[in-house]
Amino acid sequence: MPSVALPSHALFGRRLARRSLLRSGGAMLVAGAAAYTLACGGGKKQANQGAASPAAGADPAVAPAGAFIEDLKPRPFVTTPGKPGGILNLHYAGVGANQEPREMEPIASLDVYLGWLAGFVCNGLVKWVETKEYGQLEIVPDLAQSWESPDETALIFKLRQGVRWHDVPPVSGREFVAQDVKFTLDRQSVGGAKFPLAFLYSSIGSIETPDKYTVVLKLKGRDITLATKLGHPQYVMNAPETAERYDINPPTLIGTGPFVMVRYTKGSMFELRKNPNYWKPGLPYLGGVNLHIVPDPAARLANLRSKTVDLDEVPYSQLQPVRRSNPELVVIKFPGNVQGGFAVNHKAPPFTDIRVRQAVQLAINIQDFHNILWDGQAQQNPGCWWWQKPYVLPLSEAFKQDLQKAKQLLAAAGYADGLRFTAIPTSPDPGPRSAVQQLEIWKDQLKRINVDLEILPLDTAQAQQRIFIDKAFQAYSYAQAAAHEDPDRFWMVFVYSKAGRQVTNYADPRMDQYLEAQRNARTIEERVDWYQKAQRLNIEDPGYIFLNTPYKFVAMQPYVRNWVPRASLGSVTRNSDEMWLDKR
Amino acid sequence: MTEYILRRILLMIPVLFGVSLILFALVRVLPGDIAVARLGTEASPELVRQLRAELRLNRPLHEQYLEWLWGALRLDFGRSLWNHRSVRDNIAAALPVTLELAVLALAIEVVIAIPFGILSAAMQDRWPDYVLRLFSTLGLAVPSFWLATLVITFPAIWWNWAPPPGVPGILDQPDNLIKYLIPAACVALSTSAIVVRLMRSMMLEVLRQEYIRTAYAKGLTGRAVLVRHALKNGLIPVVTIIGNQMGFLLGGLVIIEQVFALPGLGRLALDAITQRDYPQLEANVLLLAVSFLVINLVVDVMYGYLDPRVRY
Repeated sequence: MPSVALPSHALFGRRLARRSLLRSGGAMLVAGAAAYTLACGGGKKQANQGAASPAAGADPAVAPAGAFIEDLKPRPFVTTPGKPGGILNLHYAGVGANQEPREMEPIASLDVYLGWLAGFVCNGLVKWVETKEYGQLEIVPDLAQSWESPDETALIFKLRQGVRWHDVPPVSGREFVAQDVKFTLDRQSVGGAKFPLAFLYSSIGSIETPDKYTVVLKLKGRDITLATKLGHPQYVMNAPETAERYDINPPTLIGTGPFVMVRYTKGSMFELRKNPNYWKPGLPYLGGVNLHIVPDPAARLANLRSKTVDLDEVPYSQLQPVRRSNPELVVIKFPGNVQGGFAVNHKAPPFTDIRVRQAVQLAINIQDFHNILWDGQAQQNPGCWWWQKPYVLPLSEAFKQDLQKAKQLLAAAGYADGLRFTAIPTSPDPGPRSAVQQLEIWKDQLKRINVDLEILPLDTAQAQQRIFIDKAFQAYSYAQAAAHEDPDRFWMVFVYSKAGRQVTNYADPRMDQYLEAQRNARTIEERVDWYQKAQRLNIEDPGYIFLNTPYKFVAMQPYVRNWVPRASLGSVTRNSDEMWLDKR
Repeated sequence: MTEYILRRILLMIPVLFGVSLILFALVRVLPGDIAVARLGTEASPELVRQLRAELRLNRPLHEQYLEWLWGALRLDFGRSLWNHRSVRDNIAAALPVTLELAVLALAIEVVIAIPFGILSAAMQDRWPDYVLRLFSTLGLAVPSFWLATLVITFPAIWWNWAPPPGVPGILDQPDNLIKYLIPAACVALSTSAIVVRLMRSMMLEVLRQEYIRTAYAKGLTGRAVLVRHALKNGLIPVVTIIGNQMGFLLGGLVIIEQVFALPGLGRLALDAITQRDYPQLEANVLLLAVSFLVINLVVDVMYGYLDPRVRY
């Protein structure tokens, strides 16, 4: 193309040769790449200076020597009062787009993160705490000061006196009384789509309130699990005035907890401020909590590094770079709150044959899942996960890879030449630690027994329709599903055949017998025995193939005091009233 | 001109009607529905049926469409099926965020791209041209979300600094520009690359015209020829592109909004798609359609100003 002769500027007078330009550009790119590598923690020399990466097969529960990672210790008893004041800045919930609460009534919600938020604002009758060691939970009083069980079908709760609702309309600081408990429990018992968790509390027959501070629950039958389920973080008290005015959608959460939610800016932030009328004298220490809604993982990490937030969960792979840029951060390791796995449909060939179900499970090398998904920082989940400590089957009894046996089983089932099946991930997200990635690992392992797995990624809503409504699947994969404190929440919903929600078409009558028996158990030991039987049966004939639960790593600024993770939600919650900032 | 504008506004009515019809049908044929999405793993056929009835989704489609259309005519788009908030309120909260981001990105783009395009053409095949062409190629090649991730990550690593959280309105807190400036610059880098290249090629074409040679011949300075004679003609296709970009920015900033935690229209629409929140999605897309129609009208009107030969 001929150039047009135009008057040249003196500034731009010198011509630049193409070769020089390319050379300079190349040099700039190399320099940029080097800067990026250094900043992101690359470089062999630096990598060896930090916490040693655990070797495959090493016990992930033990932090490497000299590491800056501290294993979580039992909660120390707070002997000295904390410094009052200061605003704690946190990220709200987990990473992802659909993380904001739908309803502002935890008891009506399926959103586990609303339970996390409720931990700051609301109270239940009882709550779970980690009193002895992590991995061992106990039910302790919350709004109920004490309780007793005169017989197997009654529970009497004595409420604390002088507890007041937050001083916001429509409750305007009135006293919390037994009628509020009756209202909450009666209201959710309607069930249906508005209160989809009501079935968990179906053993409650009637509720009586003989006086302002006494609640009597009359049960339809024995239910050893009821008190534990009342401690669920979403099972918090609600006032009739709020429900009458807003139904399940008040503009903010209203409760009796240490913090009052003064503002919720959708997509941006929850602003909580100290409740001056909190029923625990002298608490909370903090002047408030800001919960920032930040879905992007890179932005969350940047906020931690810049002290915009005071603590956050950090993936194991990011700990070394974070340590280099912010050596002052304290990192705590503790058992996580999510689990992943597969399910096979007992009514969909080839899984109508128990031998095929067993074979696809025996093809799994669980260590690959630990290493690829969680950098080795995970533990096998035999059916009950580690926060459900008394119920967990010893890991020696969990399934192990046995390719020889898997091939024999397939041959006996008539698939000596191999077979092919399709699995749906519950979400099409192909990212790290996703249901898709789990299937990719399984697909690779199944090739060794001549089984071809086809992954069928569908849009989330479409996948849910296929799996949970139509039950039109051979196998499905779920990842990072929230695990709960009590095993009932999973087994009675997804495994018990009479629950109406079981999707795997698991029909072994022994399983129903075990699960019914655990509900009717008279002691914890008896219940443990039934749950262990159920886990063994599921390993012998899998409906669900449970993979692993990861450790979590929380990095916090050194001035954060009295932080305790929530078993089911993995971050600060019910002890928020005891947290304080040692800043000034 | 007034008659032309009125005619174009009237023509928008059948277009919007068509858009609403196609949109409503397309959204409803998506597999999976809001009841399933809301109930998630707790979904059972019985609960799904019950929730669909509560949300009034079990009525015939034409009935639902007419009800929605009647509401839309009164600017009442109903309530979100996901979080029960008013759809109009959700949009009113998200629109200023996206609008501020888009306007700022466009302003940066115009400030960068038009002078750079002119300079590149004026200095064709000299080093400023090479540098600017390299810049525009990089701008096209580097995805804005990747750039955004780097822009967030590196200052945090090097200086322990990150953009401040929260999104106060510009009227409440004028210094909130810092929150918007960085994402706007990330967006502007890739959008301005297109405009730099277009501006350059248009200017090169115009600069070869006889009337430009005449302008030089009569003794005008290079600056006067470029600004007074060449620029106006070179701008016509550029204005069209910038207009279209404004439309795209209003709905296409999903990832940037996600990375910078800005609760704008893009995130709202993305959530509505994932959650099958029909009223929210329909309102968002309708708003986008209206924006495109209005922007196209404004662009057409501007043609008349830039090129006196264009008459309506």
